[in-house]
Amino acid sequence: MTARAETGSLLGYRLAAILFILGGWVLLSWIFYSPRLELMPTPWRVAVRLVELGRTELLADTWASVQEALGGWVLGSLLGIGIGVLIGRVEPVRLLLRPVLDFLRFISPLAWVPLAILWFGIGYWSKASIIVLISLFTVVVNTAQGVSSIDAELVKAGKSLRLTFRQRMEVAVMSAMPDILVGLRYALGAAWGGVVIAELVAGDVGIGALESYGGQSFDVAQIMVGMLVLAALGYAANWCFVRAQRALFPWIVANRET
Amino acid sequence: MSRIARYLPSPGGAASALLGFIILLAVWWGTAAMFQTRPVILPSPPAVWRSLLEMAVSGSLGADITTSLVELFWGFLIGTVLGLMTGAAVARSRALAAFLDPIVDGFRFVLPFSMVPLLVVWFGVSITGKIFVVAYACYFVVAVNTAAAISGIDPLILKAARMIGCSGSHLLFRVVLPAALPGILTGLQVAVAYAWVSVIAAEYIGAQAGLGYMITNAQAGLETDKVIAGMVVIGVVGLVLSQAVALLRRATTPYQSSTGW
Repeated sequence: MTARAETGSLLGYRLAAILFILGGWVLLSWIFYSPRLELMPTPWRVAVRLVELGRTELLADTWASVQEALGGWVLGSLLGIGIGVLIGRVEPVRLLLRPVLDFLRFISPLAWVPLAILWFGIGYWSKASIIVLISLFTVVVNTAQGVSSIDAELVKAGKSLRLTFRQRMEVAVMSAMPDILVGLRYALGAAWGGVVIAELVAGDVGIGALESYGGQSFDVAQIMVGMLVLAALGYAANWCFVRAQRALFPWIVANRET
Repeated sequence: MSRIARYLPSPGGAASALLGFIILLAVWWGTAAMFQTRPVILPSPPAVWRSLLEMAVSGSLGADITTSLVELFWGFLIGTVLGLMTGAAVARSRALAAFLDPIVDGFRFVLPFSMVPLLVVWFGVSITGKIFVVAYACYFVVAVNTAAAISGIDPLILKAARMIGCSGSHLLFRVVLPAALPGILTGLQVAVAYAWVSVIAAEYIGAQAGLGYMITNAQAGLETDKVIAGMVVIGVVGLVLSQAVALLRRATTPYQSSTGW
């Protein structure tokens, strides 16, 4: 099979998949049609609701969710890289902190939501702090793993060049970069789930709050708009991350598949 | 320093987590005692222990754990069985893989947590909605890992097996399954952790029982001691579950080594 025919049939399968999803959705909304309560709105109902909400609160909610996810991700990742490098290269820190993280990692960050609300109240930090935890726990493990498996020759070279502590840490971070990037990308993907669940519980603004209000008024189309916007955000974030990595670290093979 | 390290538990395991718990307990106790924190912000460890005992004795803790585990069991079972079947089918048929890949890629971004309000509208406060969330969360993890594990088998092994006259169920059970099992079990280990998180998250809204319901309810009543007690229980159950799957992996695939971090 030539390359061209291959792409052609792949496109055919992709089209078939899209038709299958849309067809299945329409079929389900006809099966579960009820004049009193819209349990499964059709795709066009959801599209209309998307436009309606786009004119009112959707943009503000999306912006709030993006701020929480990205703010928490950046802070958690910086902390994760810092602590991870220390755990990987400094023995006393490793002895003390790794068991603590081993324990804390078993309590999922999402289980912290009620405590975060008690500590920070309902607002930005009760949600962003959950994303900080998600990113920290992921990135710290990958960073420590990457840093502790540095080529011994590299460390010796650094010693014989009498590098300062800061320079040695820089060498450690850069040679652990492939592992760190895998952790960063995973954390970015997990952040959206954390944001939506935190907003559902501590609902004032955000996509989760939008869905929550939709649920309270039995507006299933509004919930579905939230689900779709969140999926689009997750997709866009992943896309941007992979592109940015390719531009910044073109020699790193990790995360190549989208 | 490295002499001390020799006596310490290997990282990533239950023993290391226990040591971490002890360190954390010391820090927590010290903070609560030194700064005299208000119980609503940070209750002291004895207060948390008392409320844990209280809940255990009254039987409410047992009931919450049972509810959560029942949801986990059915969701995990349904999601895993469907995921295994899909993964195996995708690995066998290229046409099916080309058709299902874009669907899986699309639904990967439709998060299980984002459909919780929808399921509350559909199924009310019953456990059906929670089972749906858990099954949905497991399904993709298991399907993707199973497909990768089976299609990642070294083709030389399959060729060699065929050449010595291996076929049918013999090929499946003696060659394909042992070769793919480590990858499949890795998927299951990730799936069980994800499933447990999904149970807790799904119980946050529109639930009447379960550990997730218990801690949000305690938070609404400003009972921080109960919240922390619940978090510890969630962590311990999660630890036991992931250790159980790790044990299963070691027992069924002793030829596969695993590493900590």
